[in-house]
Amino acid sequence: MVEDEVDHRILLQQALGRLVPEVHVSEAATVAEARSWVEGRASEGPLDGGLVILDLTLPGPPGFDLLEWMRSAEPYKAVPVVVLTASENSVDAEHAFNLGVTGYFQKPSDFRQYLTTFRRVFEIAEQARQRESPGSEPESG
Amino acid sequence: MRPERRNPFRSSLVIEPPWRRWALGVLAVAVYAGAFIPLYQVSGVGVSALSIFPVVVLAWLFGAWGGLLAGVFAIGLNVALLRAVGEPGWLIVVGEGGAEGSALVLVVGCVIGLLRDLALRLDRHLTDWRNAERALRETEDRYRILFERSRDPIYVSTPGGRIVDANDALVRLFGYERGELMDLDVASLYEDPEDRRRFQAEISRAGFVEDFPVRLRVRDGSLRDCLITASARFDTEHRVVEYQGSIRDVSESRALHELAGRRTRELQSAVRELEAFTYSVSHDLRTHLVTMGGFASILWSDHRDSLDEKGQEFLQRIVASGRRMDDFVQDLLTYSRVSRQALRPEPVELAKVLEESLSVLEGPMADRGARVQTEGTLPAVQADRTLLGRVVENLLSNAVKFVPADRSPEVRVRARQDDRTVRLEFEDNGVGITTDQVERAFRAFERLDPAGSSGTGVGLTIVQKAVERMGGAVGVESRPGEGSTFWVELEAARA
Repeated sequence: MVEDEVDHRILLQQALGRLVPEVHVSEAATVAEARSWVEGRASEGPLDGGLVILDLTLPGPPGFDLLEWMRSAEPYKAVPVVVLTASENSVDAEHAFNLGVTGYFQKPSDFRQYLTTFRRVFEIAEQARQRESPGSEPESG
Repeated sequence: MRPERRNPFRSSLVIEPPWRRWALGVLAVAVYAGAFIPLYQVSGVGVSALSIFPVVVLAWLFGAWGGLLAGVFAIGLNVALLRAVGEPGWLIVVGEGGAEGSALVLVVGCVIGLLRDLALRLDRHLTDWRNAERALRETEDRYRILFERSRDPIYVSTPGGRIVDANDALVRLFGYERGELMDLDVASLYEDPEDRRRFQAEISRAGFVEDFPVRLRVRDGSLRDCLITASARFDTEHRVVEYQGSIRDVSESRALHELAGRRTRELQSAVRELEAFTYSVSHDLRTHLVTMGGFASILWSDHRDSLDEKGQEFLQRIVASGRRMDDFVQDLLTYSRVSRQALRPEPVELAKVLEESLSVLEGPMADRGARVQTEGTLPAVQADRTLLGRVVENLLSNAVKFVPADRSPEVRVRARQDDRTVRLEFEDNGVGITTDQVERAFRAFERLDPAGSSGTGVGLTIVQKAVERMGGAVGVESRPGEGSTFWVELEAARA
């Protein structure tokens, strides 16, 4: 989870914990932190079952940079990346999709919505994983 | 016009009124006739010589024809009179000595009459000529005053570039002494000599120019934005003899105009900045609200058992208050979006918009047991789909919100269409508003009913802003206690 606001990290963790009690969440506050964590994790073993929840407005480089990097490097291409942002700018959404984001969500406006949003996040991540997994029909783009 | 002066010469020649002339004529003849016999008998003076008197008088009174007739009449009278006194009349007329006398009387009468007529005619011509001259002088004076006193600079100049005449305003405009101005070349007054060539080409072609824009250089070197309106005077061979025109110095009004434009742009950008500021403040407020609300919810769901009853009540109050605050900030954001978003007018089906709005409001509508009924069919309007959605949502939620708790809300939606506009009405059975509250109802942050605190006070303001941006109108008719009918007028869909 790449999110710089501590409050939001706690709320996100709480919501995730409610939906998937066995989830393990690693936190990063900047693109650089996230990148080194992903690289470290990749060296330990395959990234199957992982999901990146990405905020766009971060201190330093924007969340787009991480997305771009992950989509350009082989071992991370298959990892679903879901943007969760407060931005209402449609240009941001377009940019994210052009970079190959798996899902794009606005930050929920109350806690109940966190739950419904994450349900959708997991659904989309699961669909993406099934597309990427060997055995299913290969898909380009 | 001055009154015509009395002409003594004329008044001695023309006896007015006519009856006086006739009276004088008759008197002259009577005097002659009465004096003739006694004088003839006493002195033996020739009859013809004596008849000179009435003939001259009649010629003076009646002119050439009068003189001629009087002469003939006098001769006849003489003959008659001489016969009466026993003289052979014809002898007197045609005989020795008498013939010349009679002819002389006739000629003298005619000549005097002719002279009198000529004198009158000459006098009339002289008077006409004098009047014409005076009228001309008056006109000349009048236009000269207009020319001199005009606050607009006026000039007469030649195609060669010399100023022939200029009024004080023109002298003031350029700042030269009058003499200097008359001596210099007009072309040197133009910032761009090409302007003068264009001016000349245009005026030779059309005969005049109107508000021809030029930049003129005045004596201190500064430039003035001017508009020239002028006409050309042509000679018989259609060559331009001179230009006559006026110059309007619009430098100041142009500067004012530019200033007004600049200020307007500054204001617009200030308003845009303010709107952007409102938006970002609302947005940031909301982010924190969501966090607070989130933690309050978790506290409620996971930790409420560690709170006593009082603590739980306070926590609920925090949650409710946070929700209201969030509603308010959301409305502010909506208002801000409604004010800022780009307009895309297109034909929109009202029925479809109503259906969408009802599904958005499904929760709150069901909570209140509200019924919404559509009367008749709803036409299409020319509107921005998003803005219209906000309008309908807010009017519907408004119609349901202000209904006393013991009534179930009933909303009737109907539309009326004439050629160009569609009027959409929402009739509710709510508390209604009084006439003097109507204006306040549409003002931002005004809540008419503080007790029914479910409103944020922004809803109707959003409606008004959205309708205003789509070029429509909005209003309300209400019977306090029974309900209100909010209406919106929008352009009918263009085919």
